[in-house]
Amino acid sequence: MQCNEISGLMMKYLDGDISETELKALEKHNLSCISCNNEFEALKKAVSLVEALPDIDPPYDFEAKVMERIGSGIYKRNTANLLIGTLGLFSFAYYMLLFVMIPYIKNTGIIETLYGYGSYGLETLVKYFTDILVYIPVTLDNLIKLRNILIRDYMNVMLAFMGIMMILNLGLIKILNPQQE
Amino acid sequence: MEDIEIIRQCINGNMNEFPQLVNRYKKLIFNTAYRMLGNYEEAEDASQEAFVRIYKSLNRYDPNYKFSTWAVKITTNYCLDMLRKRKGEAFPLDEQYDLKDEGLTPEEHYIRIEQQQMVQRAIDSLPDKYKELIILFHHRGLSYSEIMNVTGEPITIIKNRLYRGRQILKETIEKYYKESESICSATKYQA
Repeated sequence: MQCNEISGLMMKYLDGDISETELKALEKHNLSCISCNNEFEALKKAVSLVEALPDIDPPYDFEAKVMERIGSGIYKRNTANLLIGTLGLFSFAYYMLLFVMIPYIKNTGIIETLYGYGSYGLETLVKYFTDILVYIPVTLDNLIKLRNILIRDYMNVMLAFMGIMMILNLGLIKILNPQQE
Repeated sequence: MEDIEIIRQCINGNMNEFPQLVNRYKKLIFNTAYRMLGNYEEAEDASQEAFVRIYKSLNRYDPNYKFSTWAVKITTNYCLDMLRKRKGEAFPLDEQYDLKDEGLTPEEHYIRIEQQQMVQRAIDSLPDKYKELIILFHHRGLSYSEIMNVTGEPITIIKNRLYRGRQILKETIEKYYKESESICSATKYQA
């Protein structure tokens, strides 16, 4: 048998699926071939050293740490979704209100009066809510500008709003079934 | 409780039994990661991350395969990623941990630890794709068909890599032995 065939037999031996006749052939060859014999011994030694490496014990609190990691992941995902969802709901309600109001707003004397009350009320509200809702308060002036735009292009703008709101509200849907992922 | 039963419960949102599953496979996962990375802290981090990924993708688990194979697949993929990122940085190898006291004398114990360290160093110097196979086949004792499921490679490639891996491992270990012998003889000469 040639030495290169023998090296295939050595691998079979290390795989653990060598037949008896093949093993005999290997041994017979190695008796007369020093280089193959040395090679075989060195390979067996290397493999047995790897096989003899001990199993290491994982840290005692391994399970707890894994659960902690899983838990914090879910928590983070939920809070993010909750924030997006609530923001979505708030702005949805806000713009729905506008949607109903805008056709009734008229540029007359009543508006000036409302403007006085409204700006006072808004200022007070802003004091409380600026930190939370960064740029939701719109002054009545802006409302009138908005009305003009909307009257010109009512449907398209509202559709765009609806689209944005729907995307924001997808966050809410995710909270409702957090296990889906 | 059977693995598959626990998995089903987890998919339905009850994670209370998951620690039991972690407990069953932590030794396999942790040791696979430890031998691939050669460092205790990294192995701890990688094996925990592997379990988190396992949990998150439980609904993609195919019960036709062994759970252990699937878990090892996720672990080795993550470890290979870590090794790739580590490329070029020298990473310290750990002291070897061998907590089993088999009535060895301190000298024998020392020699054994040294030897394990040398073997781990040799494994570490292997190219990643050989390293994975040597560890899975010879250290974890996975079968060829299990390794096929883990790596997704056909058997001829696995056999080939294992062949090359063993050759490199043998050469590296021989080289280390020669080095340590020359150090020994040098110290003897000095004495």
